[in-house]
Parts: sequence; structure tokens; C-alpha cells
Amino acid sequence: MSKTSPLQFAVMLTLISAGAAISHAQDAGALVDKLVKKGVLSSQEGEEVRADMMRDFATQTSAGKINLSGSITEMKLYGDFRLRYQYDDREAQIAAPNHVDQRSRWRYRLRLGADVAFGENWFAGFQLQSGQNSDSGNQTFSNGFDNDGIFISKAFFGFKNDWASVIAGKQKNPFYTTDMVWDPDINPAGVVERIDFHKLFGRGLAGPSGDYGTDGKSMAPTEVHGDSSWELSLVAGQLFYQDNNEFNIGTDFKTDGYLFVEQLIGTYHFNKDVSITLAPAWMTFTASHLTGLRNENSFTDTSNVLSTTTTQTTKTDRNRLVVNYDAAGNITGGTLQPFVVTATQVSSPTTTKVGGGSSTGSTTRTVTTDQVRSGATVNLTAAQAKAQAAALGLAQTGPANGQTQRDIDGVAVTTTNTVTLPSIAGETRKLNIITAPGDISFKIGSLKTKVYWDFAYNVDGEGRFNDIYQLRTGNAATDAYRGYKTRDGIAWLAGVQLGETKKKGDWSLNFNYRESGIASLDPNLNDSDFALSELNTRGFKLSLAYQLADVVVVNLTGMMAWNLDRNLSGGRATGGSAIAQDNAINVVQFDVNVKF
Amino acid sequence: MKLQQLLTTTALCALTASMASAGQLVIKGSDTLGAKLVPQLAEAYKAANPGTSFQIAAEGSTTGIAALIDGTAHIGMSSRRAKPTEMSAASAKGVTMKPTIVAYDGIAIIVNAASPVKGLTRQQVEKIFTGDITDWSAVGGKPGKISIYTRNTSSGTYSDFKELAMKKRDYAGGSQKMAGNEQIAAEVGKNAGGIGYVGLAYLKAAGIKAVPVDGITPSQATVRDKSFPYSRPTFFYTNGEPVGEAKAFVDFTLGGKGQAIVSQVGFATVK
Repeated sequence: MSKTSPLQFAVMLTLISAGAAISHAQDAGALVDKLVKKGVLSSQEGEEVRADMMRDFATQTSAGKINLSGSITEMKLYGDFRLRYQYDDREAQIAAPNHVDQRSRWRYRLRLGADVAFGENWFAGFQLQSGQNSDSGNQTFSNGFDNDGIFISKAFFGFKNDWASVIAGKQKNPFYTTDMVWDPDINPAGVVERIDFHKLFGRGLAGPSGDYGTDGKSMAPTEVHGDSSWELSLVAGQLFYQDNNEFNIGTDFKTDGYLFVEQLIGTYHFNKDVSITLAPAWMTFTASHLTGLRNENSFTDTSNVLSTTTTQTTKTDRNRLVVNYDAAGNITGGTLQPFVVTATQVSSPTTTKVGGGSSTGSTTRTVTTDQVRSGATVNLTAAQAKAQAAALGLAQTGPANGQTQRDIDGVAVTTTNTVTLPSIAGETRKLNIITAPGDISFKIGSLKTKVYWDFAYNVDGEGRFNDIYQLRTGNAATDAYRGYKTRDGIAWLAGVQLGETKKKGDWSLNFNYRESGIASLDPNLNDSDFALSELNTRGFKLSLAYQLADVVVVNLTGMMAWNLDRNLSGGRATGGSAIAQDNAINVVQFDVNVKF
Repeated sequence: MKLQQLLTTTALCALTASMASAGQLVIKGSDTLGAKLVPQLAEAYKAANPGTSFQIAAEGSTTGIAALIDGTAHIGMSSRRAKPTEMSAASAKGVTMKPTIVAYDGIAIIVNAASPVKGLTRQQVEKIFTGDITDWSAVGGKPGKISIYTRNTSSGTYSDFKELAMKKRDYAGGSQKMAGNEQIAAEVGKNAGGIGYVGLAYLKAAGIKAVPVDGITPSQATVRDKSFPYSRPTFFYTNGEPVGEAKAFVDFTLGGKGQAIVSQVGFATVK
């Protein structure tokens, strides 16, 4: 510190002891200005105080030593750590009667992220998280104290103004939804546009509105006056779901998978405590085979061929006998022309399917005979030619001055080839879903309460059920196909939430019931905790949360689920690790969350 | 004090002493101060103190602060306050950045003298320089493209103007960066669609006029009473309390003769 007058020193001490800690030295500039304006300090003394505080800030605090790029006008660092104990058990389908499968795990989730703003309009961000290359972020504690991996769970940039935003990259889910349709841990990738009509057409329509956060999401209104007001937003997402090579001609993996979502979110505030939100949406997928998806119970397409075994007969050392005749029709000689036959016929192809069983001859293939001359032609004398003709059953006479030829088969060799095809984790085919989530928020006394719901209807549910799942009733080998039921294409949820956890001492209770038809949803997007993401399920979820400190929340959650239709079997959805392999699934989780 | 700091400080003192012993005062930094004011102050000082010579380099405030930290200048001229990173860099080298206010300046908005624009609001200034407004017809001028002239990035005025007038937003993509106030005034004077900003001392350039902002005309009086929105102090930075020839020059600048020159050049005096 440079030479400081007693007055300046006293001012500095006052500023610091008054709560303007050194880390807030830049903010103290406003206080210095005020003191200068009031004449307590001269302008020169003010500058010296400011310089001294800036120097201390720069040299004695960690923040002062961080040199951010000049283009960054705001940066927010955030993260959370969750410790979880999970128990789950599953009662398998009758077709695979392993009965109850129990499991318990200690897991954790770590997330670290940064949102940065470049002036008023541009922003970007990223997030790193634990999670075994999974969209859940959960990492089971490793054996032998092994270290764990970290993955990129968000990476995006965007542009926003007062009423619209565009975000590109892997980003926070921009849609109003529930975990029945979207797992909260999923950060979709693609381009998302949002228009807030209430802001576009002036605040008078909707009352005071919140600003966009640096992640581009519209924040909750900062305050709602006593008067009623509307908010109306349109969110459109063009999401990238599966990359297949368009040039894989002749295979099933030649189309990319995209998910397009359009959602209208409308909220009407009756007053500052009571509001209703309706958010109808349309989700449509382009048809594509999926691989490498990350939910625990990925959708395994069990009808697809895992391997094809073919029997191929190849004959080698094949020769062609040519016999020459004179004017009288008698054999005068001939030639023996050797050939090698590379392939003759493919017969009895056998396919093996993921769901078990096999079939023979389900595909046929014609293989062109390809003969290649090999070696020199052998000339035969008249006697040799007659002997060869006799051996092959040819007559000893023939057309005057003509020729006769006959192929002589060599040794037949039969080989078996097995071609393994890539496994498929699902299909986006025939998924065109209407969703309609919403909530009514109000207060019971001082307790914030919310009744909420969700609804999903796959308009192509029957096609998905018949074309992809092909379910039977009880016995995959002998029973007839089970016909499509309307509820197979419908999912719905209804719940209530009492209270919320925002500060120390807060608590909340959340309860909901849901049913999810087997052809109603994409099983790779729904919550991986409830019923372990299986479909053809119904059941309850009950969650209790208590905030121990401003940054610590403990949470106990129980989920009980059982099948909508018991004993489904066969087809493409009920095999091991598929999306409807169980008749009952129970999950209990105990979490301790620390947010910072 | 750490050994490294001790050695660095010793080296800087030796360098400073060698510069002082040569009878030459090295002043580097702000173009706002260094183009007109400081040379005139130096001439007046030399007249009163024969035998003193000056080396003045006006290439932007950033260069002046860097030169002071590196020990290659006795005084760093700056039209902005030193940044925390510059403070920490100075401390690491044993240099204590001491600011002395020598004058107040206003960053005046200038347009071509033929422009019909008679005034702008702060919001219009922000929108013009950030590129939200691109045609003069939007602010009462003749229809035509707005050409923006700014200082370069090493200039203290460049960053001060972003903070004072643009809510720290980026300059418009098509803005042209000039080396100094005089170049901006010259370009705006030649371009009927031009707009730029200069210090008060450069308002007498040919072909330009200053436009009032929110009805306030930039002048020494409105800058001194801070009613003009783009007012700011300007500084001499020294390594701790100035000593020797540097102290004498700073005292001269703050004295009656020096402040008279400050006012004569076009800046507002400190008192």
C-alpha cells in the first residue's frame, strides 16, 4: 500500500469492516464516489483509496488473480454433488422366470459448470459431470478405490434478445415437461429456438417478466402483481438423436435419427399466488435404428438378426472335356480344360435372433457361378478322348466335323460362414407423440402447492406395437399375438407437490401416479429411475425432501411400479434387458445433495 | 519482500536512476493526454527548468501502464484507471501504482459538420456504436449508412467509452479503429455519414461538430460538474509517490501554470 493519510486509512477500514470485504473492492468504488461527492474525500484521495483497494483485491484475493478474457462480461460457476444409496428389485416376466432380482448400490453424481455472457446478446456454457458415459450422471463407487471418469454433459452457445433466444449445442432441456416423458438428467443436443410473445408484444400483456438466464432459458417472472396476467412462449427444438452413415447402403443403419419438438407454453396468473400452466407439445422422430444409447434399460430390437449362418458349397478342380469329330462323326481327339470354381450355390441360410430361436431358409440368395480358367489346356489323343467320353457316358460318334463338350465336377467342399450384424438398441420408427403437461399452482395457507399432470399419446402407437414389439400373452413359443389396446399408446401422470426446498428448514412432499403404455413413449428418454425406465408400467412415486442447510438437501424417494399388462412375452420388448422385461419394479433412493 | 521482488525492484530503481541521471523524463501512455496536453506542459516545464528533456510516447493508456510496470517510463499517462490484473502485475514486480488526477476529460460525440443531427440520447449513442442503429434516418439525420470511428483497443478511451456509453457491449462489427483522436476527427470531418468520439481538446478540428447528449453539450464546465454523461478523470501513474524530476513535473502540472495549460488545451482542471 502506498503512503496513506489517516483519513484514507480510516475510510478503507470502514469500507472493509462494513462488509465491503476485499473481494468486493470493485463494488466499493460506488461508496468512494459517494464519499467524494459528499466532500468527505477529495477526488484525488478517492482515487488513492480506490487504487489501494484495487491493489489489495488484485494481490490478496484469489478472484483478483483470475484474468478472464476481455470478451467475457459475466461468468457464473456452479455445481452440485449428490451422494445416493439405491435399492431396487425386479420380478421378471414369466417367460424368463428368474423371479426377483435385487440390487443395492452406493452412487454419486458430481456436476461442475460455467455459464458465460459476452455482452447482452451472446452467451455460452459447458458442464462436466460424472457418470460412466451415461446420461444420468450417476457413478457407482468403483471397486478397489479406482478413479472415475468425467464427461461433457453440456456445451452450447446462443444468442438472445429481450423476447427470443436461439441456442445451439448440448444444452439444458428447454421444454416444460415431467419425468414421465423426459428424464431430468438428459441434456438434449441440437438447436432450440424460443419466442416469448408476452415480451415481444410488451410487458403490459404479461406483467413484469424475468430476464433470460445466461443459459438462455427464460427465468421465472421476478414478480407478479395482484392483477391477472398472461405469459405465452413457443419453444421449438431440432434435436440430433442418432448418427448413422447415410452411405451404409444395404444395411439398416443408413438414416440419421432426429427429434423435432414444438411446444406452446401458456401461463395465466390469477393473482400472485395462483396460476395455471398448459404446455401442449408435438414430438416427432425420424425413423432410424439406434445404437449405444445410455439408459439402463435400452430398447433392444429383439427381432433383428444378430447373426446369419450360411452353408456354401464350393467345387474345385473342375474340368471341361471337349471332343472333336471327323467328317464321318468319329472321335479324332480332344482337349481337357481345367477351371476353378470360386462359388456355386448358397443354401439354407440360418438366422439367429436376439429374442431367441432361429429360422432356416428365411432368406434366399443367388450366387453367380464364377469360373476362371486355371492352368494349361491338355490335348488328348483320339484314344484318350474316346476313353474320357466313355467315362462320361458320351457316345463314341458325333456330329460330322463337330464338337461336344461336358464339364467334369471336381471335389465338392462345403463351408459354413457366420456373419455377425451390429446390435440395435432401439428404433425411433412410428413415434409421433402429442404431449400435454401442465400444473395449477396455489397456496394452502403459506404452503406453496402444485397439482400437476402430464399426458402423452403416440398417434402411431398401433403401428409401433405391431411392427416393432410383436407381443404375445404368456408364452412366446405357443401363444397368439396379443392385439393392440388403446392404452398401449397412452401415458399419463397426475401428482401433487406440497412445499418447496429453497432455504434451510424448508421441506417438500411430492407424490404422483402414472401409467405408461408400451407404445406410448420413447423408452430412451423417460426417467431411468421410475421402473428403471421400463414401459408397460404403472405405479407410484413418493418423494420427501428436507433442507438441512442453505446448500444441503436430503431426499428420500420410493417408487413402486408394476405392469399394465401382466405376463407379456415374446416379441421385441420383453427379452433380457429390454423395455418390458419385468412384472414389477421397486426402487428406493436416499440422497444427500450439496449445491454450490 | 521476496528475493525475486527485491532483485526486480533494485533493477527498476537502477533503471529509473539511470533515466533520471540522464536528465530525461520518460512519459508514455494515453494519446488523449500525450498528443497535446503533455507536450505543451513539457515545453512550459522546460522553459522554467532548462536542461530537462522529455521523451513522450502517446500510444494508448495500456502502453503507459505497461511501461511503468516494466520500468521503461517515469510516468504512465492514462485516461482510465488501472485494471486489477495490471495492479497485480505491478505488485509482482515491486511497483506500486500511484494514480494522480491531472485533468478531467469529456468524451464528446462528434459528427460531420454538415450533419443535421442536433443531439442524441444516451440510448441512441449506445445503439449507434453497438450497431443496433445503422442508418442516420433513425436518429433524425438524412437517410444514409452510419460510419463509426473508434479508438484502437490499446486506448483507455476505447474501454472507457464502452463502460460509460455502451453498457460494456461490443462495438459494431463494421466500426473502424483509429490510432488517435486526431485521426478520428479527420475521418469524421471527411465523411458526411461519420460519427466518432474524441476528447474535449480535439473539438476544434475542422469539419466536425460535437452533438449534445441528453441535451448536455460537452464543455469544461459540464465535465467538471459531471453533468456531461461521458466525463472521466485522467491520470499520471507513478511508482509510488513521485520523486525527483517526476515529482517536480507532477507538481508543475497540478500547479497554477500547469492547470492553466490544462484549461487552454481543452481539458477541465482538477479544481
